[in-house]
Amino acid sequence: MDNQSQINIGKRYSGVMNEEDIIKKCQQNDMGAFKMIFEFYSQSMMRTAIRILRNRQDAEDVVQTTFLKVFRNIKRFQFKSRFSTYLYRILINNCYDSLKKNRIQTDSQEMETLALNPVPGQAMELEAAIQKLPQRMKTCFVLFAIEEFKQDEIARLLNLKVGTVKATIFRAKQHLRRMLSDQLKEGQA
Amino acid sequence: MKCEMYKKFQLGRIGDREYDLHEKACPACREMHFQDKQLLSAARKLRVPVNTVTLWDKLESRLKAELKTNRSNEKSRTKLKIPIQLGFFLKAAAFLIGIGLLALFFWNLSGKQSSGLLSQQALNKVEETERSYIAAIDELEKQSGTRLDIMDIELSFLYRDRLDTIDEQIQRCQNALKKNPANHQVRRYLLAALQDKNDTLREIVAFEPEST
Ligand SMILES: [Zn+2]
Repeated sequence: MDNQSQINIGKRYSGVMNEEDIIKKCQQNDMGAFKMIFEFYSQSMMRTAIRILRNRQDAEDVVQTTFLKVFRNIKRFQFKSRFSTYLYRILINNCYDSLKKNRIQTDSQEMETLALNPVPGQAMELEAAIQKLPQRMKTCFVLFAIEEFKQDEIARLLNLKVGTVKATIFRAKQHLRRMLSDQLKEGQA
Repeated sequence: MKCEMYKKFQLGRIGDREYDLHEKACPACREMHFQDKQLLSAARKLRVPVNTVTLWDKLESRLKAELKTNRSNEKSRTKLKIPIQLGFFLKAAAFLIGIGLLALFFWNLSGKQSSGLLSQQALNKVEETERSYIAAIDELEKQSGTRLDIMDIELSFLYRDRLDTIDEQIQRCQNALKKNPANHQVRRYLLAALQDKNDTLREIVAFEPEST
């Protein structure tokens, strides 16, 4: 996530608490603090999961499982890494586990991602083009371009080298530029 | 030939200032940069709101139920508090058992066989096999890192998960062996885990990426 959202995380809720304070409250089983964390991250996590899994129901299950795993183990979180890295690493792992389980279904399944964005036109075409990217490329691009993660954080959460992430995102943009070349030229005109 | 400067800039191989100077003189890079900006601004618009209210409701009820169960478990644990005197006897008994096990261990080290424990000679042999596995694993680990980075992320997660599980198993065995190095059963588990790790790493090292 970009620095802005990291800095603002506390301000969004109480004006006093920062993310570390909220997590410490979670470590004392404070339900209000759990809700704050959920509200801050759940939308971005849902969008990411829907784009990886191409199915809203599976995405809901995965996001719920992720939060349960994280909240159950939150006492063990020692602030050595960014909380968002920890959370998204578990999310992406769970998404891939779910893909593995539902591989046959997913292959033949119509993309339900459009449920995210029913407005026809440029956005819809971009959404469809993103879905055509290979899995790793798609995950990197979605995290970088839509959810505004920095490339070094993507590297940490996907367990990749920063150089690999940069190259993957560059290739993703290249593919998308080719797929959407007419639209992008129109924008230039 | 197509100009590679924009690519170099994107991959962090040249700095901002150098690239800016180049872009002023290179229409091809300027166009690619412009199209990327367009693409990213269109992508930001895909950050649409998603309704997660019902999801929180489900999560909240599960969390509350789990917290309730945890609390009642804690209560029943505190009810079972052991009286001080009994606690003393238990500690004394544990101490005596410990002494007994230690005596058994040294007796076994002196070469006499007992069920479940290895003789010193057998122990040396097992330790030697373990050391050779560990050396092979160290070597394979050096080579496997880059392979994991280039393989499909889904597959790399599978391998990483598998390696994590094996490492946990190894750690558990090693902890158990600190207390009882001659335990035949634990030594066998450890050897199996080391062999498993060795095989998994070999598989990773032999991996050939599909061309994309
Ligand atoms: Zn150029």
